[in-house]
Amino acid sequence: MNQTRQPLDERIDRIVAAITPLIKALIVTIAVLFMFLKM
Amino acid sequence: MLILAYHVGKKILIELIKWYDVWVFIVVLYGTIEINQRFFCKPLFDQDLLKNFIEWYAIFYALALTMIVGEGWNRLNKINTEIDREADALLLLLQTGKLFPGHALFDRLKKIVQDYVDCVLRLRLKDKRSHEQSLRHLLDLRHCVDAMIREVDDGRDVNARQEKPPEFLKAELLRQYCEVYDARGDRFDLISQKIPAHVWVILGAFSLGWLWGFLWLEFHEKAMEAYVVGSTTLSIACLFYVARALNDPTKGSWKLTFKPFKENLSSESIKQLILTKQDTQ
Repeated sequence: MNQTRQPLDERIDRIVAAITPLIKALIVTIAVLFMFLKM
Repeated sequence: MLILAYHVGKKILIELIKWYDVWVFIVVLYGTIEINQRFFCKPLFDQDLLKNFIEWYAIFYALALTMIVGEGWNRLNKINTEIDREADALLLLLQTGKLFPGHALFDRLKKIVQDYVDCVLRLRLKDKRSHEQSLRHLLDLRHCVDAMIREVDDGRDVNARQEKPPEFLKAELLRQYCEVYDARGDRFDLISQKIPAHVWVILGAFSLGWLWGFLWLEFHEKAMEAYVVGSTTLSIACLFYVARALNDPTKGSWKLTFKPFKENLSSESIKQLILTKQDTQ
């Protein structure tokens, strides 16, 4: 059970780590756009 | 694939709340826009001056940001070089030890190197106990190298009935040990050297200063405003968070992997060394 779970957990961690900067940047961009266009 | 996407989404949702840098920036940005709306109005007669100001501010800002990103990349490359140097020195230490006459001490050397490699691969880079554990293995290695050089183990002559190892081999063994010790120390030093927290605050303030210019810029169409502000913010934010990820190589996208240790010093590689020694004798 552990042997099959470990690679999946590692893959999830790797994908999350890789897309985290992009998602953070997207959240900030959406917030900025929302505030600018609301004005 | 769907299961993977579900787990990734779930994990990101759980981690969202820990992204303080994002939430603090959004709150400060909201506050800035509120202040702008309440206390200032768009400077209609200085639009040309404002456009020029945004342009040269962008050059200064991009230079500061790329310097920080470059510093992060540079440090990550240096850490990887030290890891490679340490793994190579351990391998050469074993190769040199293999040339020493006598089995007992080489077997001990191999066991200690294997324990050290296992410890490094399991190491939690921020855990102090893991550092102490790896240092303990390194001290064991020092004692073993010492015994091999002095040709005595617990007070008895290990090579009494065998040929003596040449002096240059002893010097080489000690040199490789010193290389391992030096590379390990440099690796820890480089990992602990981070960009100070106030630099990120200053960079955040610079970003707000630049965005303030866009608040005062007069756009005739909403689509144009969305394109200019959106693309600028996205590229700045991407670079900013890449720099943040590079600043901590113990986690994130650019996490240290100790690949040279896995490739060159796995148990199989060390076993192969032993087999080669037995075959040649």
